[in-house]
Amino acid sequence: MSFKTKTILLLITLSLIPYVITMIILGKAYRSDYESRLKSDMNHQLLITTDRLDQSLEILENDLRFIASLDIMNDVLTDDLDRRIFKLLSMKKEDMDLIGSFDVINTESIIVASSDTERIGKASDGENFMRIPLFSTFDQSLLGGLLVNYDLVNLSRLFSNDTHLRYSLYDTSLTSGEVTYPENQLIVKRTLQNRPELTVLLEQDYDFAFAVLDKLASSFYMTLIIGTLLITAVAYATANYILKPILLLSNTANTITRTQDYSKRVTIERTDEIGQLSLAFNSMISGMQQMLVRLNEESENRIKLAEEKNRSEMLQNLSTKLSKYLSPQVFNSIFSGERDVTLSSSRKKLTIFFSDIVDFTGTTDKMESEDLTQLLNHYLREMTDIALKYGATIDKYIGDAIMIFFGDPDSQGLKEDAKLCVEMAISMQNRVRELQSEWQANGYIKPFSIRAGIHTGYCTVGNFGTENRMDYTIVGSAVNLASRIESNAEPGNVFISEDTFLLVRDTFDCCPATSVTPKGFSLPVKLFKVKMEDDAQILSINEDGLQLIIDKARITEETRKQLRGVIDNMI
Amino acid sequence: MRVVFFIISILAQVPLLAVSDYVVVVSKNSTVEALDSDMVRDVFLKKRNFDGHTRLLPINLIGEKPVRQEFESSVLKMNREAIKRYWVVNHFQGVSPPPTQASLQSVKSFVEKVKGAIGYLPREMVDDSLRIIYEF
Repeated sequence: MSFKTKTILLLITLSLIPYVITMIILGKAYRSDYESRLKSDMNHQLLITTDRLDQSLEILENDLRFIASLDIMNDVLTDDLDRRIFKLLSMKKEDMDLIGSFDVINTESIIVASSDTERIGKASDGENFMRIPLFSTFDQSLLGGLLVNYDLVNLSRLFSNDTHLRYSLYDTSLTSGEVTYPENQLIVKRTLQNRPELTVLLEQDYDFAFAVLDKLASSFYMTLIIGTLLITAVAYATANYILKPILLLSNTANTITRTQDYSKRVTIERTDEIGQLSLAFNSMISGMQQMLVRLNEESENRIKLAEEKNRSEMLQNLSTKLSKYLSPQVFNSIFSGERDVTLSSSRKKLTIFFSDIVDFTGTTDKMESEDLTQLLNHYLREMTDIALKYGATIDKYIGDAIMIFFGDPDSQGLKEDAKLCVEMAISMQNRVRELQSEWQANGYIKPFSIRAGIHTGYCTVGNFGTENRMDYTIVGSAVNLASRIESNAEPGNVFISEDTFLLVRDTFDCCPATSVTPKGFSLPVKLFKVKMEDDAQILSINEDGLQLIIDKARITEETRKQLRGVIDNMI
Repeated sequence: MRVVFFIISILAQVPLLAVSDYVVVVSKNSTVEALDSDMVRDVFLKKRNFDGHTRLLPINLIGEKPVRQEFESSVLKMNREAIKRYWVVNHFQGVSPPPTQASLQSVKSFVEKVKGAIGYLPREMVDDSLRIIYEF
């Protein structure tokens, strides 16, 4: 069922509800109420009527009592010889237009006077409507009675009957108290106060009584039919008026959905809610159109961004991988743009550090290549960590040897760079001593020690190679000298040149070592040995048939006793 | 002359005394015997209601009939105007005039039937059922 049909039906239903309620009220509640009102009105009329009848009977009785009190009634004693009572009664009967007769009886119940002369001399039958005793006016002795033969017509003629309201009088004493009431009538009844045996009925035809209601109902039915037709027409027009623009909106929306043409608009020249809806619809479509444009632009941007991100991530990955092959300082200076990746170099005074593993070939000869790789990587990682900690520039790894320099690309100053370099070398030696215990614990029979040499001198630093393959490094005699110093250094110690010594002597305790004339140098070079803080604390012997490491700082008294015992037993 | 006149007047009196036309009567069963003029007058003016233990009930003839005129002039000794004034005064004192009957026959019948009733009639209407207690 379409919304239009629903709207029409709803409007018709809503419009018919008052009719239906009115009809129900008229049909039941109001009809019942109306009947009560009718009966109430009829009761009121009946009360007036019965009061009139009662009053009439009362007047009759009073009249009779008055007549009975007259002197003329003494004529009963003379059998109304002069017809004076007869004349009086006849006159009274005529005055009252009585249907019936007045009789006067003597004490023997013989009618001595009557308004009906034929009754004179007859005995009274004793059934009289009303009987007033007669007393003589002179001694109040009972003379007889004044009777009324009263036809009920005398009362019923007082009724003001009309076509639809009918009174009737019932003498229940004659009907044994049972009265058959007419059917299909509105009936009210009332007994006379003075004559309880007399009941007055007031009846009215149902058809007449409810004629007004029936007429009203007919009018309502006619109005209902006409109203329903009008309401249907109005509902149809209203539904059209309401729904036509909505259908237009719906069709436009469908067209836009089908064609994706967001330039379409709805034109409804109205200022009501529907007009506002169409404006809102147009505004929404306009918004959607703009939003689609933005979405397209944004989508393109996002695609670009995603591509850039991918490229950036790829570059990031590449640079991360690449950073492994470069010193962090070099890497950072290149990637931050501080340094151009061009074949260029500069002359700088740097502090150069060389180290290598003592008897690396001999030590690792018997090792499996996996163990060797693991051991070497462990060693290099540890040393690299220390170098980075001190801000060194790791130039390259040459097998087991490490080449490091301070002063480029970052420099703390020449002296400070030299101090940091010596300090780094001491840390490396100390760390190697610690590692020796770990390596031994891990099953490496001959844990190696390292030599370290340091020299400070001018070098050429920069990118060397070709445009396609270049290397950031340092070259110069200072580099060679540093390498020579390292090769002449004692295992487990740090040897420095005099140039370096002059820079760090305030900080480190150094002692002169043997001078050497390195290959390629014409003059001997004076070497200094840096005193290690824990030289006296750690004893390390690694000879054929003897491998011994003693850390005095960590050894306990009990261990010391065990060591003495072992040495005594062995030697 | 005086003697003649006296005789004539005496003679003139004889027929009147010997033949009165109207009489006051009661029922023959009544205990009332004879009444004098004043007593009859008092009864009909209701100044006297009893004769011994018998309650007296005077009956008047209604209208302007000759017997009533004669009774009022001869016995009551009052004209109609005086009688009317009398009963108006007495009416307000609670005394009503005597009941009436329309005819002499009714008066006779009434007197016959009602104990203590006393009425006046022409003499010729008197029979055995009645007793004359006064003549006028």
